[in-house]
Amino acid sequence: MPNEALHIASLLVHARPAQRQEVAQWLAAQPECEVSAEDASGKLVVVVESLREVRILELIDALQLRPGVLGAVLVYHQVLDPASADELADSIQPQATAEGVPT
Amino acid sequence: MKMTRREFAKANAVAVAAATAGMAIPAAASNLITNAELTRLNWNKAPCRFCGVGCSVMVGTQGNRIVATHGDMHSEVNRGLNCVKGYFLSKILYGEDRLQQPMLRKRNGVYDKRGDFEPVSWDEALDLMADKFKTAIRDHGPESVAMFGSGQWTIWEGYAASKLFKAGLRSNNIDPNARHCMASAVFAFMRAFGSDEPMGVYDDIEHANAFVLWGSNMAEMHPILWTRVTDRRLSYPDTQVAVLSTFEHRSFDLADIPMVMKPNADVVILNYIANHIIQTDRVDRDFVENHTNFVRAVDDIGYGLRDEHPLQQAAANADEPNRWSEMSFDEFADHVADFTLERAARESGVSESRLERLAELYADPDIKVMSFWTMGVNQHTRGVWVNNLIYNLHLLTGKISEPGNSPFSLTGQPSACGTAREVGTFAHRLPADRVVANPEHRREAEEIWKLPEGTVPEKVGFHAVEQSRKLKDGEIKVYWTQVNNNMQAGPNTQQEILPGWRNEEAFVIVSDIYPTASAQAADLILPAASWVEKEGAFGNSERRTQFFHQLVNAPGEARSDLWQMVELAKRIDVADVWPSELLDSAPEYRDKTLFELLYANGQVDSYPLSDMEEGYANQEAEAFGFYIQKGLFEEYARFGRGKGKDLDYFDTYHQNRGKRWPVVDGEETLWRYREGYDPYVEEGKGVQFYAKPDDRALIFAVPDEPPPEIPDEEYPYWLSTGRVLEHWHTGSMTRRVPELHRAVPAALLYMHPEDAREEGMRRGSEVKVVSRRGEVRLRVETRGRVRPPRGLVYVPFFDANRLINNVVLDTTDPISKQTDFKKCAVRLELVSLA
Repeated sequence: MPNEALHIASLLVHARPAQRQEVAQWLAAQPECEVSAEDASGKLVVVVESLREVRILELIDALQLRPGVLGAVLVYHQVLDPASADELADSIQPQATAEGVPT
Repeated sequence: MKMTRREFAKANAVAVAAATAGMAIPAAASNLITNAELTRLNWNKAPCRFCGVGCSVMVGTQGNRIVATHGDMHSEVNRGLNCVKGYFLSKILYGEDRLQQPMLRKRNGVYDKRGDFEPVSWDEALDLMADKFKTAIRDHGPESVAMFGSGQWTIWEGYAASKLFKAGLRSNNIDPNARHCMASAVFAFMRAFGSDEPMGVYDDIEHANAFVLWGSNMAEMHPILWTRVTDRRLSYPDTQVAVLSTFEHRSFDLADIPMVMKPNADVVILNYIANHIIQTDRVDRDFVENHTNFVRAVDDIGYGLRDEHPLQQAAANADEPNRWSEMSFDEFADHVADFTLERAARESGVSESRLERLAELYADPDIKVMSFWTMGVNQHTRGVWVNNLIYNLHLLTGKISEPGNSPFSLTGQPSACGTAREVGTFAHRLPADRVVANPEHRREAEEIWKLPEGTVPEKVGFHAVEQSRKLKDGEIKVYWTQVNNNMQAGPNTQQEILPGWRNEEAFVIVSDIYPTASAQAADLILPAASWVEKEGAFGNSERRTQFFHQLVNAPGEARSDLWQMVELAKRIDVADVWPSELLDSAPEYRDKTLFELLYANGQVDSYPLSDMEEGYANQEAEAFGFYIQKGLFEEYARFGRGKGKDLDYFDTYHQNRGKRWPVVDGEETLWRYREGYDPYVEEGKGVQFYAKPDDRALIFAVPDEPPPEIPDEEYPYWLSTGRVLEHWHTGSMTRRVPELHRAVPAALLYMHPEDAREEGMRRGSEVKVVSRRGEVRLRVETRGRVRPPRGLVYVPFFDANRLINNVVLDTTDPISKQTDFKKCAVRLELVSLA
């Protein structure tokens, strides 16, 4: 494994519904992360992309200590070689369902 | 459409998370699926290798390396989620100091206890081990060899080890590290119900409207289950969460009834709640009359210290603590009548109003209540009693064995249940709840194992703490540990464990994947394979058995614990270790090896390699020439089938996300002892605690007895120890992840800011924590995740450089022999202010 690695992770964050927007705004201001989905029940999907994987931990930690956040859990984590991360992946067939993700 | 690898990985990450949450998948992520990049990663399921929850994770491998993981959406346990510990699964195998070849202490080319570690071949290592085992047994008998195993053993590893010791070497000196975490739970289950492990399942969470945490920090230690509790709490606002602990932790954030109590006050609180249920006339009379008996436990049972300790000498029933006598309901009511609300509040420090609200969660017949507990209850000098006291509340009210009403003992290791408990790798147990002291049980084991009567010894072996003492005393000559780190995890390291391991009389072998504190204190280190470097099976806290395939190869010469044990068995002849009388009764074994006796016995070796699922490596099966995992599992499963412990057939488990035993006709069982859910309950019985001779569970009357050590002028603070989320147990795996190590770099001393001020200390000060046994230096933390009350300090035990267990007293529950890591007395000395 090369020393340099690009980490891609997704988190599922559970906020109190009344404070979801506040949490989303805070997340939007954090480096190397983006809110990719959210819903009225207070759930947010956050993607973190970083060369420093400690960022993922720091973010989970910070989220768990934030008012209004009830839980922040990791769902997905992948390690990429940064040198080839921006090469085109092989052709992708557009066809999406929840069933299509790896099982 | 074209995407870069980065975009693809991100889209995938979003899609999996959204699907897990049941949310619509955002457009940006909706364009993936069946494509080459995905198929380049080879995805397989495996249960997580960390705690006892038993989450299933998807493991993505590329070549011989794990590169990605995500929560398994098809798992009923975690439903796609993955806690931060799961995140390290792709990292823990790849620490720079991974052990890759056997290492032996040598001087001048030969083994020398005072020598330095040198690499040796497997043959040299195993030949020497075999010689040490044979010599010890020949000269000092089978009690001179011992093994300390693990709740992280796979099911077949634990079974192979148990068989090697109890049948092959004829020593019951085998105990798992689960002794440190689950033994009190096991004894209480056996006392109350006659059968180990919970009656309920995680599904109870979605049926309950109250949760009570008795000494458990689920938010940090069992985060995925905590997510389910949180979901329930928020989706049903009438749900109540009560959290009881000796210090404030993260689970308090969700608590409707937060309670910080004085150490040891749980006995008083639980007895008070029983009293409250009786006084307010909310006993479920019908249930109690038909399904329970009342008994009085013997009291004054000591503290599991060495026999010569004055506290042991003074205890009337230290020799036989696990006894009881019948009593009536009225006598029980009289017994608990002493435990008033006023007394419980005074002795616990919790307000009367909160205690009363807590009591109502159990007393109110309209509330479905789930009790959770882990180390706060089990690592307790009265741990078995407290487990029983919790069952008392559920039994008095009939709130048990039905959806949502569930006393639920959580576990800390992935197969504490599946291996340590079910296989029976304890010094007193045999598979499927049998015990060595029972002649019928021994005979059943010998019959399944095709061994002559008298093979399995009757005497209970040395338990974990006793093993350390017997090493120190020179009685144990050969000691083998696998998948644990007792030099760090065990109590009273300096006075008992280290002197024992370094005793000139002893030869100590450690199998591990990293050079832990234990490995460094050993004489021979064997490099192990871990997790998906071998085919395995774990059993989680809710009786769910889960399998995994070997997905990558172990590095260098590292080999699984199973391979190590079976290879050793090849090097020992039956005649080397059995007495002549036993050999006379089974002359056909006289010229056999232990390998032939135990593993190539016509049963374990009856499944050919062609039974293996195509596309998966299997190092051990290929090495031995038969599907050894299947053979061990199927032989082991015979112990439980038809006895309420039925496991399904081997092949089914590779295809599903696990099943909860008893599995009868392919159907798993969710709620045991309840008609309609459990096939073992006879028609018309409603509820039947069938593992007890009269189908009745026991309600125990126990008194309040003080802890062995309480703070005084010289040692004025309570010390409690435990874990933090990012590090698992002793940190031998998680501390190999550098980023993680930086996140919580060194163990801290958590204390109340007012106590710090009074001691002239502040956040960051370096202090010495001193007990009657030893001392350790730590830095003070007055803020953050653990908030002790005044008079108590808390230290996590993951840090190999700051061994807090030097300080901890090696007192145990006298019944379960489980160590109490949660309370002893210390003083603090300032080293530098900072």
